[in-house]
Amino acid sequence: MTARPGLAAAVARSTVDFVCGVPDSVLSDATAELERTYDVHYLPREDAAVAAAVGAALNGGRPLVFMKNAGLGNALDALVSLAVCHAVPVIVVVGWAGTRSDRLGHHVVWGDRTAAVVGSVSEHCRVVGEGPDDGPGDLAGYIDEGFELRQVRFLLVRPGA
Amino acid sequence: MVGRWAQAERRALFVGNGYLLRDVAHHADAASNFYLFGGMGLATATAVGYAATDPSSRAAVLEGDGNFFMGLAGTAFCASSGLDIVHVVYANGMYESSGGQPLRCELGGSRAPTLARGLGYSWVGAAYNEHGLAMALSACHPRSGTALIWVGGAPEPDVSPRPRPGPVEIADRFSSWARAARASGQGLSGQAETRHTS
Repeated sequence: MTARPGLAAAVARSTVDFVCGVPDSVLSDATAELERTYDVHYLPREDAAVAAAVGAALNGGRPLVFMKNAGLGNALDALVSLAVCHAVPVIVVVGWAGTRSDRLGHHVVWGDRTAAVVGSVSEHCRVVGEGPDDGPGDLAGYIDEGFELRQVRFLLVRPGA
Repeated sequence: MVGRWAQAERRALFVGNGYLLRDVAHHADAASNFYLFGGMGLATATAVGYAATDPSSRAAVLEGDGNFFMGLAGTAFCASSGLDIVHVVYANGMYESSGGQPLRCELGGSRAPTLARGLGYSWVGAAYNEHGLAMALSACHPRSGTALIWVGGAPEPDVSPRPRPGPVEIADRFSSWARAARASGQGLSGQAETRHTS
């Protein structure tokens, strides 16, 4: 199962105007829904996607980047040395493989470490579908606040969320 | 030279880390320059995101060959983007700012233009001296789509100091310039050109 379109609805309600990333099966429904609203840019590697998002933000854009949790490893330098270092706000949606019923070995090794890796980049992280204030309007507000405060903010999406 | 050329062209210039960054910041600093103090290999992808945001935005990238090979994914994305980006690679065959260690990836002779054409750059040039670089920079305008200029170089004897503005100041300064450029209708639109040189 993949992420519900509710995430896409939340993004569409926010001020996000640039969407890019690397495809992920957990996020495939959401990204397909995003394609209805945005010109989604698919990139070959996660650090390039984050860098493109930073470039968009530098030109007045409000970017969202999506990736699988395994891509966090590729994206770390871009997140830290570009987005955080230059105080450029980027919203990062991460498919959280290796959680819930997903017990594939090569997913679990990353699933177990995702929260720690994300936490090393930013203290701003929400797990979609697991908070009391998680409607599309609330998520949109969380996203937009990140742009206003020039923060890197994460949204983690579990399989079937 | 590339810094001054980019300013004359009213192009945003994204500069990869290393001694090139120090040289540009020291000799051709401008609000339209964005210096990637970190994020080695990511100048090209950053330029693509910048240019993709607004159709009137024009960009240039200046990086060394260490940055180039580290960021091949971003380069491939740039090459096929069709955006107005001129990508200049200064290839001295080494990791100069970390002690001069040899770069084992080499694209001498015609291999760099061949790679660039294969990736999808719409205009490709090579230069081995200042005159050649000036000719290449002049030849890739007017045009539309991405261009790559491979510059065969050597280590520089003099090292420029690190730039004074910090990362946040650079981002703020650049964003302000970009906002003003968008408001004034930045740059000129180019015409399609597929001339390749080596």
